[in-house]
Amino acid sequence: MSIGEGQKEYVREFKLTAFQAFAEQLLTESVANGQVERDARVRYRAYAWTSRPTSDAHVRAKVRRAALPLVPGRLDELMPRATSVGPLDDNDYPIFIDQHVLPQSVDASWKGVELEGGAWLIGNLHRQEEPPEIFAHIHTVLAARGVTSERDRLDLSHATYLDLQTQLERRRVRMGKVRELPLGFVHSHPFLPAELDGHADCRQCEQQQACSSTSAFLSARDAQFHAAVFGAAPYAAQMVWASLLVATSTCGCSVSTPSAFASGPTTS
Amino acid sequence: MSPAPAYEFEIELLNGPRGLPLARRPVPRDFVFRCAESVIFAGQRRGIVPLAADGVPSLPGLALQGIGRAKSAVSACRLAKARKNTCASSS
Repeated sequence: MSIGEGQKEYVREFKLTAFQAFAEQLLTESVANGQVERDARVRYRAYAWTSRPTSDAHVRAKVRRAALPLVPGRLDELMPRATSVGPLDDNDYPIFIDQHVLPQSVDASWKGVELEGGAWLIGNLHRQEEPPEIFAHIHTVLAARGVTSERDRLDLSHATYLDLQTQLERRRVRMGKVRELPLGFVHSHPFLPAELDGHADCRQCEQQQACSSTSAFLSARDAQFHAAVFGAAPYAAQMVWASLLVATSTCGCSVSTPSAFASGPTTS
Repeated sequence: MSPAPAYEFEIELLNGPRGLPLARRPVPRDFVFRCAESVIFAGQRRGIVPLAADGVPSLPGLALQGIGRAKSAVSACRLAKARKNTCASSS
C-alpha cells in the first residue's frame, strides 16, 4: 500500500503474514470439523483481484476517518529526560511512558499468580510540525473493570468498555482532559514459561540453565485481542507484565521484555 | 482521484485430502482496513497526509497493489498450543 505521490510517497509492503490471523481462524474451524489434525501445519494461499477490470495496477481508495485529537508538542522537550527501552527502529513511532505509570500499571493489572488482570494506558498524541512527527505520551493508568479472567485468559465485557468511556468522560468534564484517549492496554501473564510445557515450575525444567524463555510475550490470542480493540488505532501499544522466577522459590513480577512490547497493527 | 474498485482478497487452506483445498473464504475487509490505517498513520507522521488545524486528515487517497504479479501466493501457519506457547514464541 502507498500514500502520497512522488517524493512525498510512503510505501509499505505487507507480507503474507498479514493474512495469517484469518488463516488461523479458518484452520480452527477445520480442526473443529475434524478435517485436519490439531498440530498440523497448513499451507494457505492468498488471492487478490480487483472487483472490476482495470488497466491500472494500482487501486486508489478514499478512507474516511475521524480526526486524531492531536496536541502540539516537541520531541526535544521529552527526549533529554527519556530512557530508551529495547532496540530502536526509525520506523517505530515514539511512545513516552511516565515513570510512575509502570508501577501503577502493575498495581492495576497484577492479580496474583492465579488470575490475569489488565489496565488501560491513557495519554495524548502529540504532533510536532517540523520535522513532522507524531508521538505518544502515556501518563495515566485506568484499571480494566468488569473483566473475567483465568490464569491464562482475560476477557473484557461490555461493562469494561462502558466503564472506560465513563471514566474518560468524567476526566473530560471534571478535569478538562478533552484530548486524552486510550493509547494501549497492559495485562499480566502470571505463569512461568516452563509451566506451559508440563513442568510445575522452571526449577524442574531440563532447559533451565540455558533457557532464555519468558512469559512476557504477546500470544496469538493477545494479538487478536489487540487487533479487535485497537484495529482502527495503529498508534496503540500493548504491554505485558510477566511472572519471574526470583532467587529459588518465589514468584515476582517483571517488566515485559522489549520483544513483548508491540505497537501498531498486528498485521504488519 | 479515480473511483477505482478495491481489491478483494481470499484465503484458501491447501491441506485437504488428496491435495484438494480444505476451505476457501473471502477475507473480511477489516483485515485490509487495519493495514490501511497503519499506512495512513505513517503518512500523517511523515507529513505526507496534510492535517488541518483540527487534525482532520486531508486524504490524498490510498493506493493498493495486488499480491505479486500472479495475484496469489502461498504461506503456512499452524495453530498455537492450547495454552500460550512461551518457550517456542520467545526463543
